[in-house]
Amino acid sequence: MKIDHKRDFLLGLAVCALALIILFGILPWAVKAPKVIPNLALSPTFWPRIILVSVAGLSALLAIRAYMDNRREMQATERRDRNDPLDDTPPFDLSDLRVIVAGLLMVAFCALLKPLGVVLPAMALLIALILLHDRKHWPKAVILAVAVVAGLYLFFRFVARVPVPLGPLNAIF
Amino acid sequence: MIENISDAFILFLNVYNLVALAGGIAIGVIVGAIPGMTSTMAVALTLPFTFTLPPVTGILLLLGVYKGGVYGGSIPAILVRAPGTPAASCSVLDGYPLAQKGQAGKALDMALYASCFADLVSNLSLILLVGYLAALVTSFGPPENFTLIFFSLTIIASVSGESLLRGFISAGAGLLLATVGLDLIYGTDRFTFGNANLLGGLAFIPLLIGLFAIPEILNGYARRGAPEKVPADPSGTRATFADFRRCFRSIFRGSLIGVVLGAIPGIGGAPSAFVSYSEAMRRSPNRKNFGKGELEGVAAAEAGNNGVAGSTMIPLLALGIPGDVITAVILGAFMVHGLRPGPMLFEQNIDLIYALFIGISISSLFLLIIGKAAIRMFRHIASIPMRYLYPIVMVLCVFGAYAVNNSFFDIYVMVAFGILGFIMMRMQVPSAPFLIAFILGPMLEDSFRQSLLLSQGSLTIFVRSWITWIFWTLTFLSVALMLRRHIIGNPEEALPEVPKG
Repeated sequence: MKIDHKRDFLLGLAVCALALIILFGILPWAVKAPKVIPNLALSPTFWPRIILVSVAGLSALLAIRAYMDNRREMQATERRDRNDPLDDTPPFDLSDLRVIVAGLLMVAFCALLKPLGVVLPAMALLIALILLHDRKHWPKAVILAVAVVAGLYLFFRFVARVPVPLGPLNAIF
Repeated sequence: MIENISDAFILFLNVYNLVALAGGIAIGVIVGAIPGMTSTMAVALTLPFTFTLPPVTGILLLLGVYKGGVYGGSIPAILVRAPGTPAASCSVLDGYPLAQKGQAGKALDMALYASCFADLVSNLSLILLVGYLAALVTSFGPPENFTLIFFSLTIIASVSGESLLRGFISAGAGLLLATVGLDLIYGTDRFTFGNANLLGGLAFIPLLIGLFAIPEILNGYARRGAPEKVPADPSGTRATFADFRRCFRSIFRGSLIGVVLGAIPGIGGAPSAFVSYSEAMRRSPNRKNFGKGELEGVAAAEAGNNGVAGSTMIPLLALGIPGDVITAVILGAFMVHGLRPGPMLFEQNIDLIYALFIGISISSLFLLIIGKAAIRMFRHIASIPMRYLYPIVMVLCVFGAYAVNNSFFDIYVMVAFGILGFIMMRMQVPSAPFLIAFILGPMLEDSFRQSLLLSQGSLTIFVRSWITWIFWTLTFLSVALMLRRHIIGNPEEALPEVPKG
């Protein structure tokens, strides 16, 4: 399958499946509606149902269109040249681990927020993200992390009056 | 009237407002000038800094970022053939060939003068027209509002990119997530899963930052190793008054095209720039030089591009509907400050509206001054290493998201939507329809259900007045046009090929 069609086909199937799971599996217990409603359209479930049915239909259409387009192009290609190689490159380049690592760093940062507050994890995240780009400049990364996070903390704490949690640093400051 | 204007001057004449406007334009020009950073991202990141500011100051700051970003995108378009914003892509056609001929300074000057003139025309049209439109809308009830918002949802088609289906799926996801929270009529939970943080719905700003800033940061890691482009030298010959006079017809025409297209929800800067460019090419005696380094081409593209900057605010302020993604963000900013754009804003906060108008009028002058400085500083702006810039932006996102409700939950939402936005980017699902649907979704649902309550369930209420018929007709025409464009093709394809930033 060509990469564009493969992407659209998988996207369509995945979104359609998700919409149907939400519609039949999650919505009945996640959206609470009163037992007696004078008009179906006024029910709290009406709008989400309409949206989910539309999304499921549109995504199914996307998958079908991708499949049909691919089939048509395959037939045309076969007629022209039976040995024409197809592009089987996946939409995600898993060899490029840096993006995945950057995403994981963000998730790890979220996990550290409750025990450590915002300031220390933000410094660690900034250093880690800089080093992910370039490992040579770690002293600059540390200085920049301290300066940027401290600057932002001071702005939000004293100008915007947002009580940014310091975590363990509370004991020092 | 005079009393309102004097109140507005009192409200506006504050050094903080001038600093916010100038600072906003400077931020916008700098961000717009960095390829890979978008104006939407700049407005999203600036939004949390406006929470503690008075509404006029905060909104002027965001408008400054918007206007600066529209112009800033033309600088890398001319110097490195990499438009900083999609709307600046038309400026590449003649700007870059001029830079290659050693006339980058001239092209940048003309881009700036055309931008400032078009911005001024656009601002004046906003000030003159918006009041009349708002007065017309005061008689709207829930069914009229429903048809208006339904029509404005058709702008999703114009921000859907190559595939309408992917755009509609994205919008469907936005509409669905907008239903999270308490039901407004019955007060029951919808998709809250017992989490108190979700009772008020998903917060708009963390979602916005997540969708528009974090995918760019993650994409920065994917782009590593791409060859850096060497900018052309912006010094050398400058544009003269004679050059400006020679291009004036195209600039004026482009400004008017920008005003008209900008006032229609969903058109935006890029089509306006291309229409203005093709009109200039059609009418110019130098049409053979277009695409090879014609100064009039740069002027026309920039005038068309910047002509929308003021007029996109017309539907926002008068009707409360966003004309494009950035005005959708600015609509969110109004809401954050407890204001709801639309006719009621004109009745209840007319002094604020006039104060904004005064600020917007001055913005063209600030743009001229700051734009001149930015041309000289572009080499420094372009040399900011991405390895530092993206991580700093990430930390800025964290503080911005936290500041909304002083809640870790908003940071989680931001990161979750950032990762979702990156997956959407990779799958070529546009995130702009998601955001617009997320903002318009609750309004659409409320007006729909209020109408049905009024009519005791009868759907005929949606065709009760001539106003609803007008909006149904406009929706029908808009859908027909979008289908025609996607089936037959885009007239922009007839123009010389534009490189992707």
